[in-house]
Amino acid sequence: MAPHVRRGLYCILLIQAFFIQRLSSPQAAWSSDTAGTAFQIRGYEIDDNDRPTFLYSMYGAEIKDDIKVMDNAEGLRRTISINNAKETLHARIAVGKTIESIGNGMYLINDKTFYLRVDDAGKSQPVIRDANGGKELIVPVQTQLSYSILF
Amino acid sequence: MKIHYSYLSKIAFLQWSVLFLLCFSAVSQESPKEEDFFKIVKVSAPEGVILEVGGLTVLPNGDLGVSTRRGEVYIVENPTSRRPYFRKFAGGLHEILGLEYKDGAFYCAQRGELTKLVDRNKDGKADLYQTVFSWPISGHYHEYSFGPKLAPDGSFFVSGNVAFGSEEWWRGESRVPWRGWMMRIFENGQMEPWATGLRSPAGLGMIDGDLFYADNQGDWMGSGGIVHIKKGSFAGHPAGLRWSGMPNSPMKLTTEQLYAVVGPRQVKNDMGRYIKPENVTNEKFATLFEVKQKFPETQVPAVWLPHGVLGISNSEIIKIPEGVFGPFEGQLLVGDQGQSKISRIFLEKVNGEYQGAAWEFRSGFQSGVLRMAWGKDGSLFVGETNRGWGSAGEASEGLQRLVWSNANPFEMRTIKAMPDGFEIEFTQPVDIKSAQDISSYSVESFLYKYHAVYGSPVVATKKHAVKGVKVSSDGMTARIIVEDPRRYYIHNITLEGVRSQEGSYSLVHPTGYYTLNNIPEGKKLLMSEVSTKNSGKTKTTTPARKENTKLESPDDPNNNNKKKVTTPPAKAVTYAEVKPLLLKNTCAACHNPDKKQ
Repeated sequence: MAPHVRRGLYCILLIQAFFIQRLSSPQAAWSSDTAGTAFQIRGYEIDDNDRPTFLYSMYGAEIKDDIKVMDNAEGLRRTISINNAKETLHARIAVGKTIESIGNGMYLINDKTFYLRVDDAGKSQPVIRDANGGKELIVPVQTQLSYSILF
Repeated sequence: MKIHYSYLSKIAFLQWSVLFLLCFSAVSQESPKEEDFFKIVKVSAPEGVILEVGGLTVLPNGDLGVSTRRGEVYIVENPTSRRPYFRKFAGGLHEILGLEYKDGAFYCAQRGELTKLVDRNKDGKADLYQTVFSWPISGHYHEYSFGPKLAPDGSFFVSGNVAFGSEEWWRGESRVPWRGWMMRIFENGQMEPWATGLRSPAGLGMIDGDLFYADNQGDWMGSGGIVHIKKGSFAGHPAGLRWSGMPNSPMKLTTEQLYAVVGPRQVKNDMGRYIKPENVTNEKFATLFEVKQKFPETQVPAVWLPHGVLGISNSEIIKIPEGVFGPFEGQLLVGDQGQSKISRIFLEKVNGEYQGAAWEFRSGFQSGVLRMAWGKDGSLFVGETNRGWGSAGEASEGLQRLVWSNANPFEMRTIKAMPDGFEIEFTQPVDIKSAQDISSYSVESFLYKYHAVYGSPVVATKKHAVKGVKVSSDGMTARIIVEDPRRYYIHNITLEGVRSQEGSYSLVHPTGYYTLNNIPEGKKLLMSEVSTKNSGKTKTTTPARKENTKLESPDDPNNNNKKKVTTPPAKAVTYAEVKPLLLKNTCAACHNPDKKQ
């Protein structure tokens, strides 16, 4: 993968502060400060079709971050795997003016801008919470989280 | 008048006879050339594969790993056969200027990190691109990163180029930590800052467990050379000293301490703009060894590679393995990008420090020589690129192979420092008569300035009389007594008059450059045991450095610590004279008379 593509993907992954954070509680504020995360890029894995899965570490945990186009091109699926976490890490999977739960793990973001479906959150329950005059969708992650953006 | 006339005619007759003899001998006994002993052959690559080689490594099974400046890694199967098979192992990487293979994985330095490439599913293609350690970069174009070179303990050495200033575009600067440094990186991702003073460290070499690197001419670097870079060494370029105060830095020397001894020449004009420093003739100048006398961590080159003679942009340093390349086994080869050639080095240790001699070895590669690796058959893979800088070999890329013909070239095998001169060992017996003639030898020493200016003229040139020679009875060595050899100086030792016993050939390369960092103690030769025969036949000027023999300097050979004062050359070489050479062998971007870079 060309460096600019790789850099671009990191931008997607990390835009608006890190996607993964350590929160004292699901209601604790999402920090834009990256200090203390001990973030380190670890590289990437390439599948048979030359598609990358990015590897990085935060708070001492090893994270695999995989975004793939879904088979029928109905959207993008992101799968996060966390190893060696010393504590529960949280993922902020959506930010919007409005976030609406419509059942079966489906969410409508920003008045039907896109659908988000939580495919696998383990035993965790996603939380819609107020933040900065809008909404955030937060998921505590044990070892794996998978969600899809559908359009 | 009459007497004079007959005398002159006799001389004329003699001259004609000599000329006739010379012509005759030239026809009948033309001495072999380097290409008669070392043949350059191509490694056939598939159409469309662009091999701007940045790294080469031979795998345990004999396959060749090749990384390119364009970010690809190939594995070449049967690389010494007529039809090697190229398999792309990895791609999309950022300017890979080095490649190593360790425990089943490749390691390469990209611009910003050391990356491990692993083929976990054994399908012949990397599927894990693992960051071992990433270092800061500012984004300046010149921040090349080179390596890794594998240490005996399994750690990796990576070197980083300096960036250049914005207004002071000529000044190497370290914008972020560890530019201008050697880094030692461990498998677990730890990095130990190793040494600084590097400017453009394109070539690394791990020689018997000791780390060497090659730098080339630039600001603060009078000429290229190879440096034994120990932990905490300072190699001369000040930029990296900016990070001496970092908690894990092994350096104590600071920029301020250095600049108090040798100023940075940061002067502004009346418009408030910095003026590019230029060489000042007739000035008191400093040399790197004088800096070493103040700051012992300064590491002078173990062997200087005189700029424009033994390269202009030195690259990889490798050791010739046992049983390979005939008489030169155990010696070093150093590539050169700009001159598309390879030089040979003999190293010895005197007073615990490396020093030695360098010779031209083989030129004529198709592009700039950046990397070298030994094939299982004893031939040398040569990886080449000119990166758009230009090189003597006009192609922009290349992968070639250097193959020894198994014939023994007539060369100086070694030059060793002696308490009173040098001992030269040959690759085959010399013609005793020619070797016992002191006019067969000429010795001249010189050095470079240490200053903020880009490059340096050859300075403090001095001719040394050869007072006697002792040739061993087997004709394999000649020990010469040299008048007042100078510590730390480069000694041009030219043997124009020495002939081989068999064939009466000249040396393939009659000039060696010995860097005399230390003069050994020991027994000196007695005048009673040496030949002082002087036929006066051989010209004492040395073709390789003819332009420099005109530089004279009134320096005191007994006190090298004093600052030298040079007098300008009696006749400078004109730009018109050197222009074709410059254009052919160097990049006009920096080596340009109008100073626009």
